[in-house]
Amino acid sequence: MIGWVAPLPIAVPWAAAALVLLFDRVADRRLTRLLTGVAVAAEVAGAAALLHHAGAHPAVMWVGGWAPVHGVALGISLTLDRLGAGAALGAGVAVAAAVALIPATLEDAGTTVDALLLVLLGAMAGFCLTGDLLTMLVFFELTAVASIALTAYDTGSVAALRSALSLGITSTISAFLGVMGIALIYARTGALNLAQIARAVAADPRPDRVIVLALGLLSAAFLIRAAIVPFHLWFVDTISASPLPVVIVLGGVLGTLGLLGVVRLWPAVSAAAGVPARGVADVLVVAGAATALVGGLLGLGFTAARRRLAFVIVAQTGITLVGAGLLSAGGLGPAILYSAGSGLAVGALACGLAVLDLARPRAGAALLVAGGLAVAGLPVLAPGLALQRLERAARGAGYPWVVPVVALAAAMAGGAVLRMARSSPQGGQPEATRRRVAGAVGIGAVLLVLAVLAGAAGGWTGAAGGWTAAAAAGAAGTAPAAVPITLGGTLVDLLSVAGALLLGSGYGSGFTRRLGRQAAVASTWSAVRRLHDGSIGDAVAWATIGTAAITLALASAMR
Amino acid sequence: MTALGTIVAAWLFAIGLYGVVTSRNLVHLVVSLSVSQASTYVLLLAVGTRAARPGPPARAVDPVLQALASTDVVVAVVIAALLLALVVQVHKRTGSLDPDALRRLPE
Repeated sequence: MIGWVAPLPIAVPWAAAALVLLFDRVADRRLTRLLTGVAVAAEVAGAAALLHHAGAHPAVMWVGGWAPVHGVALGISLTLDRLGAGAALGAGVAVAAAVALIPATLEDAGTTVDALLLVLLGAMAGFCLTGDLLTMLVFFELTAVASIALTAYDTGSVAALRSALSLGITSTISAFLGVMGIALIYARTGALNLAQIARAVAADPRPDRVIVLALGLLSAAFLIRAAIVPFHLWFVDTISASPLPVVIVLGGVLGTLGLLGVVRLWPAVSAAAGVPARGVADVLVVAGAATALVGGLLGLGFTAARRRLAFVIVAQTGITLVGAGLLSAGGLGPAILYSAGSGLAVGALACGLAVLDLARPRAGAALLVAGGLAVAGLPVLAPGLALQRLERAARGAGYPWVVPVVALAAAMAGGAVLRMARSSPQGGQPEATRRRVAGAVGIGAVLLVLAVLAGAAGGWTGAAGGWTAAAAAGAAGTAPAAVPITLGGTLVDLLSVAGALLLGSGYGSGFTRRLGRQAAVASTWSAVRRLHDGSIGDAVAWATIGTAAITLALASAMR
Repeated sequence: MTALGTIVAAWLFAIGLYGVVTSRNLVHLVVSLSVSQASTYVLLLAVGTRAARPGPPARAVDPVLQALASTDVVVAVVIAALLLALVVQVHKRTGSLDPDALRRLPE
């Protein structure tokens, strides 16, 4: 019944992208803007309809009517579950915010930016909705191509060109890893459809080294795009150099989609492949926690606002991975809520930076402070409400150390944002029109309100039926695990916020200055700076090291 | 899947990556990336030339993987074109093709 809606979130943005470019010469810019807006709204509506209709079990639609024969899937399926539809909805919201922010930031932007954002949106929706491993990878490659072009939009800037090259080369290598993983999985199972792969693996439940190697390569491919440490070098450079509307999409949602790839992969295949879930969870949770800490720490360490924002996003992705990496509905539910809330917060922060660029320091700083409190985990907005549930789920799963680590990372990330607000520059473009400022402030405010609403919809009380719990249960194939918020969890959240306020107000900067005079610390810091100088070779070398480490860790977890 | 195919694929991937990491010229870097990509063709074809599962001809090839390999070739061309276009822009702005000339110590 809902089948005919399923391809629309992919097809409508792409068709609109073609039309926008077609009308570029003949029609008014206002018409193409309207067309873009309508297409993005249609994607959001389509994804919302799919989310509404997605039941406890995924509905499957075979594109072109190529249904499986004798259990062999030759065609490509769209697999509609709450997790995928919700992610497609989130992608639509991020692109809508980006499109709305264009007039305030890229005043003279041509239709190319609109078209590229639409291509990116269609590709993201396809990635979220498909149930076919190869198609997932193809859609993900397409998001990479669109992001390369968007990052390099300002071809006059050497930093933009460098980061686009870095993004292009790193994501291409991630695609190679993905293709190799798919080839190995196909060699063992003869299948590309995720459900069919899982069935084929389950039919032969002996631990299989080829499958584990393939899963390691594919996980690395997705984690590279999610910018998990040590894969984050290209990402930090890209966020530092991209136009702000592009930052909303790349930082707010695209990294999280990398984690979605990992989530799709593991529960479907790993349990069947004879890999103990605990071993995989160990690897993912440790990687997430390390990413969260590194992101928070370097967000405080660097001083350029964009670079801080990039590290804050890295920290948030790490925290999401901690929840998702538990590989249980109890961990995935908070991770979904957290990623939705942190994506909205990133959008608000980008709007705040846009307002600062328009020389309105007070309004910009207000948005940054509000976003910083969200990042730090104020238990009114979605991230805070998710953090305490995530910490509880981790403790329940036997990772009690996650609680202080995640709380500390949230405090450092929030503190980094508050420092951005404090050191907001004066000056800029004094001729900024009131309308552009109002636009950017309005979008930021709407995103923050959405973060409050998402938190409320995720269940203040955590009663069963919270949307994230249901989505997680659908993806993990278990009953909804709703976790209520508690006094203790709220206190931990408030501790994080207090820590962020302390760090943000510059508390301890005397201590760090004294520490910086120590020779060992100073040389480490200069090595860290050199590592983040945008070198393409370094980004690729660290991606290789990370891939080897993750594959080896997973292989050893198999024993 | 043959051992030879797997070893050749791993070797191509490794030397391609080595080229990317150590490259001092952006065009050389993009070509190294293509060398690395050749490993995926070899792996796909090696996987596809296993004896077909049931049925008569023992040395049949799997058309799905050949389709994947040709898709992979197309993607490679697109990526190389896009990256080389960026390299042209870099050369226009900086007059240099050295990737290290693009590095800047961050604040």
